Amino acid sequence: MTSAEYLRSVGYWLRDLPWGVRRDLLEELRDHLNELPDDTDLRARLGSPDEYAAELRSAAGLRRRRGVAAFLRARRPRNLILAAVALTAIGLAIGGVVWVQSYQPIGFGGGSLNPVEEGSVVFRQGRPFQFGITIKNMGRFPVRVLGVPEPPGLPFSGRVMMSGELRDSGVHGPYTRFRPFDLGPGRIRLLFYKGVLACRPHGTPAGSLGLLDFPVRFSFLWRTATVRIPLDPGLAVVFPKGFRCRATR
Amino acid sequence: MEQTQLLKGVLELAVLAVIARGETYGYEILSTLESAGFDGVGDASVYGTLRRLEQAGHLESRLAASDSGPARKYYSVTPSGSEQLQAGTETWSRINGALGKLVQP
Repeated sequence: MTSAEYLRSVGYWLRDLPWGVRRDLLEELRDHLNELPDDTDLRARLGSPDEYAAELRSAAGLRRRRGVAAFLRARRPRNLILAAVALTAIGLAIGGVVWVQSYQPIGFGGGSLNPVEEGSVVFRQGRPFQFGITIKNMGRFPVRVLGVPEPPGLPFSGRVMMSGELRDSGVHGPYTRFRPFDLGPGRIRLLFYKGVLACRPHGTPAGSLGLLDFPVRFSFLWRTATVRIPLDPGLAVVFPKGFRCRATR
Repeated sequence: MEQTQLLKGVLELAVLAVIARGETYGYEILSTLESAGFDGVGDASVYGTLRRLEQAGHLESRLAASDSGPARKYYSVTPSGSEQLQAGTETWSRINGALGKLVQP
């Protein structure tokens, strides 16, 4: 067994001691091993590493330590700090990912473009239709608004329009065809469908169709999501009794 | 009774006595003890005793460069260590005298 192996093995048997104490004991042992003649049989002279460690403990009055506190004190302070920094970084990274994944700052901006006051519209093929709301970035960071998915089943044909940035909750133009834009904190814009009521290829339900929320697709950093902004009141499209929808496209 | 156990009982006093002669380091202390007949005491016991005496304030140490390699840890006796040595010597003399009377034929 070489001096280095012997030293390492004794260190293993003293691993529960505080790092500073173990370092001092091992430094002194290293010095001692350096003083011994090169051909010294370490086991014969000092005993096995575990015997040496036990004798050293006994003579120095160093009891065996157990528990979390002992485990932490036995670690090198620099390593403890590095571990704490690494754990903090991992925690912050996980927290950051969770935060980004749940970050949803888009809300109702206070204005709407409603085709009727009473909250329902009677379906008639080709009837002009426009419907939308203002959205506001309630958060502290800008997000990118990517689009307005069409609610499934909406008997509508047309396009999505948008306003420029609005100063208040009022609804006013000019309006342009929708294209993705960045919505800064506190900024408001109007998004709305503009077109005509029309039967869709997948059919139209009998009775009525209720629109209870307004979907907006957005992205923030790496995350893309769709937020459904509740409508209060919602919009109902009512189909006349006996009406049978024939798809126009 | 095994000699090693007897030697360990007075090791603290022996170590203090060696260092009281003058500042010295671990390997030299061991060599002096072995020359004096303490050859049954393990190296670990001596280094453990040095640590315990230093922690108790009976010894102080300093690192000093050596001719043969890395710096050595040199020990010297503190005033508290001197008192400990004196008290221990008196106790040892008393026990030795008493034992001598008992074991003499």
